[in-house]
Amino acid sequence: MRRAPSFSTQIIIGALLVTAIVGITTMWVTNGARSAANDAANKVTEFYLQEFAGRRSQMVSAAIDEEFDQMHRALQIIDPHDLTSQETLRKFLAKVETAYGTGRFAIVDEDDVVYTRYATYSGGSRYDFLSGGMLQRGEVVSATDLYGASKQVCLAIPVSGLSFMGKELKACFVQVDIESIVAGLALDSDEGKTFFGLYYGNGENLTELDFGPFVADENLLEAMRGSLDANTWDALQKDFYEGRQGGVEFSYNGVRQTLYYSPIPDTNWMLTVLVADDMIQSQVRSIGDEMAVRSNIQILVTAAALLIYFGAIIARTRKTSAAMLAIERQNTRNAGERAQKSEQELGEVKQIAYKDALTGAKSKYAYTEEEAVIDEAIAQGKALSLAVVVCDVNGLKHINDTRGHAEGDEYIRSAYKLICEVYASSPVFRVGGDEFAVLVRDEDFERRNELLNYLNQRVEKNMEGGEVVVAAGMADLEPKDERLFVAFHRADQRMYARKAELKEMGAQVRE
Amino acid sequence: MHGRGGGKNLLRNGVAVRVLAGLMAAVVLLVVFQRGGVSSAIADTNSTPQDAPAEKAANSAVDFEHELDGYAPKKNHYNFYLTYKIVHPWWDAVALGMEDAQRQYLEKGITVTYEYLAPTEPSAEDQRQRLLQAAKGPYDVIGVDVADEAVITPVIDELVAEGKKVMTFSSSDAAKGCKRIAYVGNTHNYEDGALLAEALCKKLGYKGKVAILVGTEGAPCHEDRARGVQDTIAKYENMEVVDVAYDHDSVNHARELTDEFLNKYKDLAGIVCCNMSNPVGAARAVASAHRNVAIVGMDHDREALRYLRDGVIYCLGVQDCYSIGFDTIQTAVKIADGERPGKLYPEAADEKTTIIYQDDASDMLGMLYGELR
Repeated sequence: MRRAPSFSTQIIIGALLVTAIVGITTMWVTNGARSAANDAANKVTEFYLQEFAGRRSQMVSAAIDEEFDQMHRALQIIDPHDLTSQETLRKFLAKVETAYGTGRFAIVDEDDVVYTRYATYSGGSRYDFLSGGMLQRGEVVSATDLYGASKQVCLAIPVSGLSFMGKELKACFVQVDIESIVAGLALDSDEGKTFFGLYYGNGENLTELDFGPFVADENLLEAMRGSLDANTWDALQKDFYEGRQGGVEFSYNGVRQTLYYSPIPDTNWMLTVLVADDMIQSQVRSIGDEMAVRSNIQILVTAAALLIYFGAIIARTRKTSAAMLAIERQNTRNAGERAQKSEQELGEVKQIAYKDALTGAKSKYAYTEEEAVIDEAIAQGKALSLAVVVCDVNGLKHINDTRGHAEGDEYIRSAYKLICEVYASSPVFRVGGDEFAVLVRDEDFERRNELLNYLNQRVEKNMEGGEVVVAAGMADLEPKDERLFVAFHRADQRMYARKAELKEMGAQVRE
Repeated sequence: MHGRGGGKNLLRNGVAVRVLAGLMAAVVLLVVFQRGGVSSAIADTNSTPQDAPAEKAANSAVDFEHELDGYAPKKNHYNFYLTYKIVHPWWDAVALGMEDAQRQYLEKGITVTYEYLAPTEPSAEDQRQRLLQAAKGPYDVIGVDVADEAVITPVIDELVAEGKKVMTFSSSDAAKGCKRIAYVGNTHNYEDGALLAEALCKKLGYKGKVAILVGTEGAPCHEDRARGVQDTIAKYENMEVVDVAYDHDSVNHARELTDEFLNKYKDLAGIVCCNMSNPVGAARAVASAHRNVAIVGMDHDREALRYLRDGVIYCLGVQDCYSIGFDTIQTAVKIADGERPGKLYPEAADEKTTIIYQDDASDMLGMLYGELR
């Protein structure tokens, strides 16, 4: 038969189930929280970086405006003396560069000769803004793709009313290192995971700086073409071309990237910000992992607490069970003892009931029980070799009346002693105050007539000596007898007959 | 954000990344070994185009990493006058080398100022006037990229006789026997022309009709190259120079001349271009006419490099303009100090030319112009 699990096993299984439920629900909640955190982080990051790109774009725009302001201020302070010779002009240009901390500050004459602090050179083929009437539109922002890709931003403004060495001055400009602008946008705290770039609307890099995974001389749009579907790429290209802010997610060389871009006002440049998604996700993941760790700790602590709690319950239960078992055993033991005692007491009672206190003979109660047993045997048809001897003590009343009850009691004991001496193998019962019955069996039964005669002889002899006189009548249990009482009754009648004989022989009898 | 794009990152699995990286490395190594290196197609003036692997990659055609030599200038300030043939991007590249040298001297506390001027149209007379005017100025050294050696050499000699320190630089030296102190620039224009012609002849199987475009008449560099071209082609009996024309360093003119060639010679097989503007104009015309005419030419013009990349131009000889500019200033300082050619600097500095082919064009565009690979 299959054995049922123990109480402790049930408790442990229960604890494990509770722990599993707590664990699963905690993990479910944790995963949900992690997913929500991821979504939230992405949305916040998106918003933040869009704003970030926009603000950086404004910064670049502000830097450009500042350069223009400085050029205007420089033109305001130029003195006719500064334009008297190459030397004075170079001193003025040096003063402007020093005072305003600009890059190369230059003046251009009508023949496109460029005057700088250290050199005077023909610039017609070097600067795009000197051709095509660009200066007629006012302030010009352009980048020069110089030989060797040392790209520079040129911020130019038209000049009028000034001449140098007989030639009209047509423009002044500052030449700014684009990379210094881009470098100024960088963050210090992002471990190089956020990149800034400046690109033309056609995707060409304005700088010699790598832009994340894109090397410096790559066209950004072309480089991204393979990473985007056609529609997305077309939209991106259109945004660049038309100078619209936006962003795009893509995978490049197996790494998820997010590109944000914001046009720089009054230029055809696009400021770009590139963030590796794994950076964002690693940040979110680290938060999620931290949550998971806390959850796992919570699960473990909960499990440990539950195990300790259920362990304590088990221990307590075991202890209680042991105590109860001990009590039960004690109770059982006590009950046994009590039963034994009761039985003993019952035995003692029975003993008392079975035994006549005066003579030590078996009592009338014992005779009754024995009679019931014999009657049962008779009822069962068993053939019993049994005879009943009924003895009556003669003269007891007389002795009680004349010599007191103590003598009377002694007289009875003497009668009993006499009967026991005769019937050594048979039980002797005191069935009345002065009557005894003997159930003659076994060896005595074989000699029953002899023994009765011997008793009668002892009695007759006692009569001569004044000792105890007992009248005895005997009857065998005959097969027709349905009960022992029938044989007893015959023996009783014969006792009375003997009693009469003894009276005639002079014995004292009760009347 | 538009939420566009979005291929999944398939390489997140670290094991997959390592395995793929290993495979990629193996593939790259295999390709490199099979190709004999990425720079195999580059040849300089000392090598046979496409026959022998070059020692350096395309980006070695121009050396942007220069440092001043150990010479200690005797003055704290130098002022030079430098004039050249024509306002053109080729000389803007030379100017960048000059500016680098100037910056490096400034870091040593030595101020170098200079004028670096040219006319917008090539003119020996304009150059002569500039030199004569410069002779009156406070210049330590006068440098000239000779527009026409017949016209300018006497002027140089005259100035030297007056005690002026005159040097030649960049593309063209003065005539032999000129008293100029030194020359910094291309000393092998004839050889460059010969190499370009040899490359073309080989490509054409040493037969066919060829036209030659030259820059400015009398410009030594252009003329020397043209002679190198003619002499090379003359070696092959099945090849013929059918025409020679001068574009005067004008791209538009070069195109017009090429159109004329194409119309005039229906079986024209090739064009050799001896200056920077020639190949641009020639390529425009050939591309427009959809003619199968091989073009070889000079220099690093961005448009020419694009035509090279696209297969319209067969090869280009790229000069190291940056080094020419840098060495010009460095040599001028020594000349200003009265040093003579010899240990400190050569009488004629040999600046290299590298012949590049289609495979190198993208690298060169990237290196010089930051353009898409």
